[in-house]
Amino acid sequence: MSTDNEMLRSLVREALRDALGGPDGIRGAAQALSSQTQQSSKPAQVIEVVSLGSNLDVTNFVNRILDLATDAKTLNAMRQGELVFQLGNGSVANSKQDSGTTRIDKGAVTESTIRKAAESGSTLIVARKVVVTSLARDKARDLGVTIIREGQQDNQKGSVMR
Amino acid sequence: MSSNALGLIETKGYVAAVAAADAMVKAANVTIVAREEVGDGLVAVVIVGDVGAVKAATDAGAEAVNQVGELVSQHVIPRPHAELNKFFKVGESA
Repeated sequence: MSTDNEMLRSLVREALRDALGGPDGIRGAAQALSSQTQQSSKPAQVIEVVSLGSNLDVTNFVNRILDLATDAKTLNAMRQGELVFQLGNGSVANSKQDSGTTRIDKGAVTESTIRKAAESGSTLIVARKVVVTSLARDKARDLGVTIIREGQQDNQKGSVMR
Repeated sequence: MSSNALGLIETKGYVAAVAAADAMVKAANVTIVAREEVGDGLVAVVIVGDVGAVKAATDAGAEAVNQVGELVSQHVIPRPHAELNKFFKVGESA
């Protein structure tokens, strides 16, 4: 049994030597292998800064992703987390701590509602039937709380178009 | 009291209107000048006062109505024109 193992080992050694071209080849291959593993354990991260301030920015970003995805190599890099996207300064979400949204379906939006929304840094999505008081609108403008009235596309900060 | 702003709150239901009126006069230095009932349960309360007071009052009124009934609409008119008083009894002397 042990002789069989020995034979097998020498056979494999020989085969490897043939395949890699001498003992130097083995060492070289081993080196190449180790450098490869080093690379895979510490992948070079590429950080791309994205600024999402408006709907146009989002559309542009999506187009950029689609362009990048056509190349299999970059697509793989994105999947592996080697290509990372970071929110830039001009981003809406980055200017606040939290960019959650609060939906209000019925009743009224008053000053206290706005103050609560400002504390959590969230955007208000307001149904059509909901009344936004004048004071709430003023406060929203002061605190920079965005009120989005449902069924309307473009809104200005703190203002509600009726 | 100078009345350089007009505040209006319209509710569905009489009880909500009373609650709104009470909350408004308690919240700020305003006076109630009119109560309009246009039918279908719609009741509007009109107040006058300084712009800031009227804004604060209508906000408090809206908050109160939120608890009791249904708020239909709310509006503040800063410096209403005197002409309004001819046909809408919303002035201080109305």
